[in-house]
Parts: sequence; C-alpha cells; structure tokens
Amino acid sequence: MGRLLMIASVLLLLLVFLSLLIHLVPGDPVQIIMGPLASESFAATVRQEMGLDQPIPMQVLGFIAGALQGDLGNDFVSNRSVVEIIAGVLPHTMILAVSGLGLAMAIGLPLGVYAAVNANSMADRVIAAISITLITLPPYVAGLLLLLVFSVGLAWLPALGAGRLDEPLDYLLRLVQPATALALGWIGYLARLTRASMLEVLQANYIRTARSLGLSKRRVHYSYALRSAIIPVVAVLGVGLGHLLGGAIFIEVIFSRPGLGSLFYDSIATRNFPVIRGSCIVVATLFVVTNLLADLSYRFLDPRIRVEGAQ
Amino acid sequence: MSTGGSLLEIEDLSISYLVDGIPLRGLRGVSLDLARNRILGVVGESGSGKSTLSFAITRLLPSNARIDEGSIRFEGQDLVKADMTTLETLRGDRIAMVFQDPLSSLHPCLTIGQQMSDAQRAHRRIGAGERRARSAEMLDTVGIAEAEQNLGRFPHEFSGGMRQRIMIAMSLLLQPDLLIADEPTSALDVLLQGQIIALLNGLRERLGTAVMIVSHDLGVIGEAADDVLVMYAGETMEYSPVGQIFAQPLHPYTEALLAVMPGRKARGRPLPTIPGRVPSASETSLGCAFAGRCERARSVCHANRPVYSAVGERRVRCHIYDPLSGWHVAPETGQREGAPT
Amino acid sequence: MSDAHASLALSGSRTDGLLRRLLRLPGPAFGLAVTLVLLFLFLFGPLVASHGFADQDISARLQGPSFAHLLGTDHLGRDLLSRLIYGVRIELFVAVPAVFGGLVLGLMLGLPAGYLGGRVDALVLVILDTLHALPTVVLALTLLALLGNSLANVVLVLAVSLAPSFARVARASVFAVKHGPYVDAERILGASTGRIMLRHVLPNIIPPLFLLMAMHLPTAIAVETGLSFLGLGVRPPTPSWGVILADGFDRVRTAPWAVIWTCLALGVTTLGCTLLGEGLRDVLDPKLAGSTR
Repeated sequence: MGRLLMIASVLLLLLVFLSLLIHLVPGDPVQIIMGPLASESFAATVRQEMGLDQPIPMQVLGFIAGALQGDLGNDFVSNRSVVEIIAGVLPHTMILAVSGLGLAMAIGLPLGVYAAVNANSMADRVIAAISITLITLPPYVAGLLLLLVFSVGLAWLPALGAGRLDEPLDYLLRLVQPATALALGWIGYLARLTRASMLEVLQANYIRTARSLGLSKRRVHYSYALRSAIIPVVAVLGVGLGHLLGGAIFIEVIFSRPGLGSLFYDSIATRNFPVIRGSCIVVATLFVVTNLLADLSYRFLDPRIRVEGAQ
Repeated sequence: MSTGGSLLEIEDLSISYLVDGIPLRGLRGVSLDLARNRILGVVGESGSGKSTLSFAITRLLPSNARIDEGSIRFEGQDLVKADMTTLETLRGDRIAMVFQDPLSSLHPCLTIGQQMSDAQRAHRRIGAGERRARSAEMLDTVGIAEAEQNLGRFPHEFSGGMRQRIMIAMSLLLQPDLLIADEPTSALDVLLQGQIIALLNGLRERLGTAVMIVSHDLGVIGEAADDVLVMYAGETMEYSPVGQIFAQPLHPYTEALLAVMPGRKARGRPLPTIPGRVPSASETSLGCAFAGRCERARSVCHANRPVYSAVGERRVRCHIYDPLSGWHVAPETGQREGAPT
Repeated sequence: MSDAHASLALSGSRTDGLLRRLLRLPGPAFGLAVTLVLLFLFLFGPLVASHGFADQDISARLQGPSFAHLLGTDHLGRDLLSRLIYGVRIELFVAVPAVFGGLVLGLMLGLPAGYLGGRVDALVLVILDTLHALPTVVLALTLLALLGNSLANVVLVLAVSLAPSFARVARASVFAVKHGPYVDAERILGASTGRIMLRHVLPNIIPPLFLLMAMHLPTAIAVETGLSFLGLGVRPPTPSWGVILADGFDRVRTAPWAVIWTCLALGVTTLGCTLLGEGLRDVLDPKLAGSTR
C-alpha cells in the first residue's frame, strides 16, 4: 500500500511539474515555445489550445484531470492528439527496449555465472575487464561504433529506419544493431552484478547440500545458485528499462528509427511542448510500472517475502 | 575393532587449509573404520576437525582445503584419488549427508518436492510421478504427515524439527550405504533430539545403513552411537565401543570431556569447562596436542607425539598406554605452564 | 569541526600507502594514467595542439590521418587531434562544475531530509523519486529546451540531473552521524539546527560525497557529450567532443575518422575516470560500493 501511495505521489508531482514547466522560465510562455517569429494569430491559437489564457492553478488542474482520463492534449503543429502520436511510435521503442534488455540478460547472466564459478581465474579477469569497458561505454558511442563496423565497414546490416512490422525478417535485421547498442552497457552491468550475487550464493549452505546430493556442477550452478542469485538482478532490471528508454533517444536518432526517443528528440528540437510533456509522462509511467513489476516478480522469486507480504 | 566388512576405511588422513598462503592444520593422521549397520559417533570440541573429517569423505571441503596425504576408501575405492564424475555419482546415491542447520541447508526458493525430486533425478532415470511418490513415501517414513501437501511447501514453512526430518528424508531417498550427519540435532531441543536419534536408529536397522554422527555433545553420541571416536585438534584421541568409553575412558581428554558433560540435574548451573583452550590451527606441537591442558602430562608428552595404539579392541593416542613411551619411567613434571611450541 | 580535522589528518598520514595500494592493480593504475593525461591536456592543451581548434584548411577537408594532421581533418579542414585536445578543456569546464553543482544541490536536499526526518524527509524522497523516474537524458533535454542551450545551462541541467544521487548518499550518511557524540553535545548546549547541520554534520559526511564526485565525473562527461551530439548541449563553434561527434556523424559514411577518434577518446576517458574512481572507492570506503548507478 505504501508503495502504491509513493507511486501515486511521484506521478502527481511529475504532472504538476510538467504543467508548470513553461512557467518556470521567465517571459511569455508562447514566445518561449514559438520563438519571436510567431504570428500574432497563431500565438493566440496556441495560447488557447494549451490553456495558457487561464489562471495557472486552473491550468494545472485541467492538465492533471485530462492526463488521468488519458488525454495529454493536442499537438498544435499537426493538431493530432498527443496520446495518438505517442501510441503510434511506442511499439517500436518497446520492442527495442525489451529486446535490448533480453539480449543483455541472455549474455550478461551466463557471463556473470561463469566468472563467479571460475572466480579469480584468467577468464574471470577478462570478463571483469570487458564488463567495466561496456559499462562505461556511453550508449551513443556503442551505437556509432556498431554502425561504423557493421553498416559502414562491412555493410552487413541495414542502418537506417525500423522497417515495417508486417515484414518481420527485415524488421528483425534492422533491430539487431540498435538492440545490441542498447544492450552492451547492460551486458557488462548484469555480468558484474550476477558475479557478485553468485559469489555470495555459492557460499550458502544449501549449495553444499545440493552438491552433497550429487547434483551435477552445471545444475548446482545454473539451477540452484542462479535461482537465488538472480533475485537482486531482477530488482535492478526494473530500473534498467527506464535507463534503456533514455539511451533509446540516442539509438533511435543514430539509426533513424521511429520511436518514443526520436519523437521526444524532434519535439525538443522544435520545442513542441505538448509532445515533450506527453513523452515525459509516458516515460515516467513506464519506469514506475516496470519498477512495480520488478518488485512483484521479486516477491514471486523469493517465497519468504511472499509469505511476509501475505501476513 | 570390526574387520573384513568395512564400508569406509580412512587411513592416515591429513588435511590443511591454506589461509593467505600459510597452511593451517585441519586433520593430522586420522584413521577410522566403519562397517555396515554400525553407527559411529565422532565427538570433539569446535576446532577438533570433526567437521573437516565429515566433509572430507565426500570431498565437499572448502576450496582452500588441501588433502596432504592418506586415503579414504569407500568399498575399497580411494575417494582421495577419485575424479569429479565419480564423486558426483557417489554423493547422494551411496553416501548421503545431513547438515547441522536445516533452514540454511535447504534451498529457500524451491519447494521440498522440487528438491527431493532433483536429488533422485541426479541418479535415477525415473519419471516425475514416481519421484514424487517416492518423496512422499520417504516423508511419511520420517514421520511427516500429509506428505503430499507438504511436498508443495517451502522450507521456511516448517518448524525446526520438521526441517531436520525433511533433511534426513532427502538424504535417505536413494537408500545410501553411508549416512554422514554433521551435528544433526544441535539446533533442536532435547525432546526432538531424542526423536531424531530414534529415527536414525530405526532406519539403520531397516536399511542396514552405516551412519557417522558428528557432534560436540557426548550425550547425543552416547545415546545414538555403537562406537565413539574422540577427536582433538585435528587428531583422533580415542576409539571405543560406546559402553566402555563411559564406563572406563582411556584418554585423559576423554576423561575431561566426561567430567564436563552436562548432567540432566546440573542444568541451570554454569557448565564446567576443561581448563585451557584448544590449540589454534596455526600452532604445531612436537608432542601430544592435549599436553598443554592435560593433568597427567609429563615431559615426554611435550616432547614426543604419541602413537595411535591398540588397547584390546580399542585404540588410544596417549603415552600412558604405551609401555615403551617413557611416560612411566620419566620423573613427574606436573602440569606445565602453556604449551611449548 | 575537530572530528573532521581528525579524519583529514588520518587520511593525510596514509596518503603514500594509499597511492601504493591504488597502483597495485592494473585498472586504477590505467585510470590514474588517463586522468593525468587529461589533466595535462587541460592545462597545456593549447601548447601541445599543432593547430588552433578553429583553423580551417579548405584544401585539406575530410582527410584521413597524415603527418600534417595526425588524426585527419573534418569537413572544414580543421585538425581533428587539435580539436579533440581543445575539447578536453570544454569537457572538464562543463563536467567539473556540473558535478560540484550536483553535490551542492544534493546537499541542499539530502542534509535537511536526513537531519530533520519526518515530513521533510518524505517530501524530499518524493522529489528524488520523481526526478529518478525520468532518465537523466530526458530530464536534461527537457530542461535545456526550456532554458536554451548555453554552456552555463548545460552545467546547470547536469547538476540537477546528478543531484538526486548525491542527495541519497548525503541523506544516508546524515542518518549515520546525526547521533554521534559531537552532534548530541552541541544539541544539549543549545546550538541551532542550522549551525549543527553546517558545522558538525556536513564535515562528517563530505568524504564519501567527494568520492561520489569522482565517480560521477565520467557520467557528466558522457551526458554532456551526448547532449551536444544531439545538438542541444554545447553549440558548434566550441570544440566539445559532442560537437565533433555530431559533425562527424553527418558524414560518417564518407569520412568516418572524426567519429572513430572521438568515440575512442570518449571511451578511454569514461573508462579511465571510472576505474580511478572505483579504485579510490575500494581503497578509501568499501562501504560505498553499489551506491552509484
């Protein structure tokens, strides 16, 4: 219950902050948004469209009321609803983020387990060096390097655009590079985290029990130890999706993909405030929701917490 | 000393732990024999090496442990030289273990049923249904009612005594020839202790399993074991049938242990202790490890390490029982201050 | 104040041992080397650079590496190596004040939250969670869109983005020291809350926060470069690495050198700074492990 209250207050505060955004800067909001070149009649339209002619408390309430009903206002350039615009591009970003995170888990977890099981070996040191290099690599550097190697240098993969979902193979080919670029940092991070978590779990008495029962090394490591070691990793994945959405801005711009990131970037460049506001709300909501999901799966993975929660 | 039908023969086993590159004493020349259908109790204070001994048999020692010499023969096969595959085949199937703290020794995130099923799957090609049936049957054997439902529960949902029963059930799933129980009752109250011991005894009689019980509590050993092995500072001090060791202890250390054994009526009073302390794992002495605390120690005890010699069917590591040791001819020196190093 | 002096004196006496322990591992040693090179280029860059950062040579545009231009030239014939060297100044001019600003803002939130607790703490936590719900880049871009992209605004925006992390560590550290003997004594003697916070709590929580500053320096550099790459951070004539990267990206198919070198410089810089930061953390304050990111 406390957690839901926290989420509600975070989202509420964010809505207030975003509706006041324009007023945080001194000067006429419409001027700031449109620049000094806007015609008087267009400025008036925008003023009315965004409710800027109303008193500020009314603007805040109006915006929050609208947002709660799923109305994030209209884009005054194209005159389409912001929700509609975002819904159009969101699937591309979700596919990108989820496949990036999936890739990161598919590679990062086994790397971490291997490093922990062979702690202090040469392989462990190599994995540690690779991990820290990947962690510190900014996502756009990862994207640019992949682009250079696989699209410019080797010309193996198409570089631009997301393709269409009704051509799955082409879509997949175009997804490989952006998803990898997003995943690289998380591969390193997950490998590190999994290693640390595994090292702790491998000391546990129940691991010794599993070995005393004659379970194979593989089964002890990947089934028994990882089963517990993954719990703190899952807790981090919730935050991970939020971070990936930030990185997606760069990746979508570099690979010219449609998506929430490039939409946000375009709206920043054109100072399209309704869309900026809408994107922020959607990103924050996704972040909060994935965090909640991670928290729930955390409870599912550890039955001891499950019981406490029920009591 | 039982001969011929030995299931487990340990000979002259020495183990050390490497800590920061320095070898520390684990075991020093330990030998023992265990026949089928017998219960051997291994007793000693903490640091006596009794746990090292129990983990060494299935080679589940921590990674910094090193077997320096000796052999561990199980049905004639030397486990010191065995490879990982051989060990994995033996563990759980032929040699099973029960651990001290059942809560931390069971996987917290897997149900009892899953863990028992995995234990069988590691060794037998049998279907999931049959594995489950066997698990339920074994829970029933150790006295856990509603076995079917309990298979779906997690370890934390049981009481301490139930968990120890579950551990024992898990270890007996494949009817092992040897069961090693490391402090199986130390986390339990006296009533439960008795139940667990009775359970082990009954199983031994029904399945003919050889059992090695490791405990710091001579009372537990006295109730459960046929034979007793007394350990001190990584060495075997005395080996006797259980009746004789209580009636007539040979080694002065065994005597001291019996003297400080908490009697039922002495509860509530501060426990008597043996004066002095167990030599730390980094101390090595030329003489007897117990000499520094022994009331009957003479100069020879500080100078020469006693041999583990036979006294009838018993064995003891003490100069008193060795007519050639010089203990009897040397002048009395009394107890010396501190152990020489 | 005396307790803070004591801890400073303590750290002073073990400085030589610290350096030796730091250099024992290859990672921190590499990190220190990178940091020293960056520092050298920051101080003496203009003396080292063979060309000015804006010197154009129209006859030699988009060239690969040569003796005249060791790393090649960009689309206006400017020497890439010289631009990257001048870029070090921009990076540090932005990143260092940004991290410091993050520290100050973080303290302004974390210190009262930790010390006063109760409603103040709850309010600060909601603010921190709200800031956290938006990825750093999204928050920074939104603020930049409002404020306009000047160098000063980039610093400000980065400081705001980094503040929550400082605030959390500050808040937690305050919890740890607020019932220390000095603080309790002052309270009994009737010192004002503000005075206690600034004179007694603050000096005691500063060491871990300084360490956090070091750990966040590469983050600040990476985010600044990213913002400038998107064209919303530092503006073009200034040779920020992000600007060089953006210029290079426009021509990446025909002349990849600018992108290659900038990516390399960035990768080595963030890696080096992070390794040094982690090395320092491991040597000075192992407790802090895991509190970043």
